[in-house]
Amino acid sequence: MPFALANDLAVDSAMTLNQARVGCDMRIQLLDGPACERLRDLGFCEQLQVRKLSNGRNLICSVCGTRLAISRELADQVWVAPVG
Amino acid sequence: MTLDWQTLVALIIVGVTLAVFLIGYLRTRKRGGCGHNCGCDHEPTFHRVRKRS
Amino acid sequence: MSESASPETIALVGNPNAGKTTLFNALTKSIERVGNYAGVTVAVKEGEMFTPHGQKLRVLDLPGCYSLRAHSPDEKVARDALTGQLEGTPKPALAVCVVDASNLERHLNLVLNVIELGLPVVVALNMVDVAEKQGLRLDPAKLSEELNVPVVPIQANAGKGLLDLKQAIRHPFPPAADSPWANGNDDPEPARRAMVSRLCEVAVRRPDAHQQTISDKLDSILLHPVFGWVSFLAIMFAVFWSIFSFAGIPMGWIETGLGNLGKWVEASMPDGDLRSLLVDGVIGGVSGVLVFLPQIVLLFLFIGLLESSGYMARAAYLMDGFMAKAGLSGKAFLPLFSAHACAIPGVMATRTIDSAKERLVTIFIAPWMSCSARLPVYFLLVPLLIHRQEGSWLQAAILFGIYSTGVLTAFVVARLLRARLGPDKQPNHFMLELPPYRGPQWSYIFRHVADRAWAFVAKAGTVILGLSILLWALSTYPKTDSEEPGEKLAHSAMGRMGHVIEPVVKPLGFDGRTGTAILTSFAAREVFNTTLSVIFHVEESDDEEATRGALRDKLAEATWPDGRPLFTPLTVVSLLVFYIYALQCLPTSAVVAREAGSWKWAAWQFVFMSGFAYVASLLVFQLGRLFGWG
Repeated sequence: MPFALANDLAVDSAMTLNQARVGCDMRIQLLDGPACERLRDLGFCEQLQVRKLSNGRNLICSVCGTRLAISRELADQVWVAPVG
Repeated sequence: MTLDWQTLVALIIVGVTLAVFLIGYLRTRKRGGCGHNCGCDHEPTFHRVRKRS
Repeated sequence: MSESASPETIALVGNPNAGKTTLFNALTKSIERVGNYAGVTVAVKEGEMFTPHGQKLRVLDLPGCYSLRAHSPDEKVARDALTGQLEGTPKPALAVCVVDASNLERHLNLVLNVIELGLPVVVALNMVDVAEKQGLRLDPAKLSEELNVPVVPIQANAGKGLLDLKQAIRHPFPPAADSPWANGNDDPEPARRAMVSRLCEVAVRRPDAHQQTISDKLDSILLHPVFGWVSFLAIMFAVFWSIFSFAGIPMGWIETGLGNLGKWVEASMPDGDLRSLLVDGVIGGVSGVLVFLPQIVLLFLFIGLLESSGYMARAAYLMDGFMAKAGLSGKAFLPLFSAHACAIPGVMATRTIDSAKERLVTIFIAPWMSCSARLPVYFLLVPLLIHRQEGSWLQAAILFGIYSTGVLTAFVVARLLRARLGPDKQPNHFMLELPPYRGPQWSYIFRHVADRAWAFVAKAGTVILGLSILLWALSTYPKTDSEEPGEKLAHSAMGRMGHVIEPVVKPLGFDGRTGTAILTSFAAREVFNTTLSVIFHVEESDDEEATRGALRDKLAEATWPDGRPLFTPLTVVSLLVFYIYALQCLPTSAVVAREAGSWKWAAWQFVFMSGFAYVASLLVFQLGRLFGWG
């Protein structure tokens, strides 16, 4: 079950991690997909800040000071919105 | 043909070596598998994962 | 309180790469392998330690896991060990949760999971130095208060805080803490996450802004789509070149030393079988392997440096796209890289791979990552290709080519095998932590390399020594009255074996002696050198003036009965090709059978690889002859 914070899900500015711009600080709003448990175990939790460091076949993101690489399919399951 | 002492000692050494190998081989068979003499990691304590009922 | 007869067991549990094994080594004085990437420890390691009060404790080092939801075999092992379901491993009475202090937001989840199990827990807050450098302000006391478990800051790689940790885990163990966050909830997940958030709020102050670190600057090159690959190939080539150039001198010392020893023994004894046993058999046979000790030391040194730097995760990231073409993922890179030292830990390291099919394929191709046992063979043969002692660049390039051939063929076979196995039921995705680069832990590296070097020497002094003696006997008996050295060998057991085997290996370009050496090397690859050395030593006339030259020189001068040179470049290439592909390691087959779950896989692997080696060698030699390179 997706962990949805209805109030925070601003439709206009929500996008998947794939669509996010490199170098922007984002906040994770929602994880939605078959692998969301694994993503949370790895460190992609709702409310945490994430910054995409590079695109490519596998994305590199920075979450709480750790660099994590995830595939595009996984990144599609992470919904983020810009911070601020 | 009389064996000279060198040949005798040499044959004894060969015999002992052969015995050591055979005993070692039999012991490995009992313990089951990896001879561990390739200089790799220390014995990884592998265990069959089985659930207790 | 009664004294228990057997020591209590404690387990080190935590996220991958949190420092569990480093702590384990520090507590138990072991030298288990460590590395700066996830998935180094894949099996439970046991050791013993003493608390400051002299109490003995059994310590378990568990594979790292991100949660107790085990997705891959190594995580399953960790979970089962913790819950006492791992056969042969006692259930731990206390869990030491090793967490990376610079990563609490991500590591505390597992701690909560472990507390929920009802085990007494002590939290070891490791890598406090890294946290400090990142500007994090930690409050271990507050964390301890909130969790109701002891929290001890440590720095395992520097040995700091260990005494405090030992104090915390002495008897009586702290009581198991409650897990109030989980109460009354069907799904504890959100409650756990909320608890982690709260804990981080009170106990961890992280500067908000994303900081560019030195690791990031390095990664801008090393992870660059183009420069990343250039760096990767450059690093690999540099390693090969270093091994060749730096090993040359110490190798010369060993050769000279052993040569002199042989000469001395020969001079101090009258002619006879025992002298021959000692000089031709023992010294000749063992030196054929022992002279390559410098190369082995350098290989393990570079592997250790690469693994501890944190670069391995970057290499896995780079290789993911390329390996996808082979039906594998970047995660398979790490076990395959380890297999270059020895296939067995490589095969075991495949436990980090989620997909069972990918795991099987990786296990199947692992032996084609040329292991360190082939080094003595490669280093014996490669110089024969280029008639010069110098030329490290060329030799390194050839060696690089040899390794690449093994790897590329392996990928092709992997692709075919993967296609036959079919797709996974659940898709598996690439996810990998890129740990910050770390400088090498020199004390560990030196101990680790020394350990491996000693294992190599010990093997030479036991298995190789024993085989040398037996091979000498086979080359000397039965005896003939003839004084002609060629005749003597032909009459011996070894010679007769060679005679039988020659028709089989002649199409590959080898003679009976080489064929016999190949056969014996199925016991251990290095024995190829040993056998050739014994054969060529025994073959030499017993004349006092005979030169006890290096094996290389003897091989360069060896001929067929009709006088043609035996080790032509084409023959050498054919021989190298054989050794790249042949599976000649029974211990590996045994581990493959265990890890793959059936003897059939191991048997097929052996049959396939041996057949492939023969055919490849045959093709190379015959086609080469066709093109006139023979």
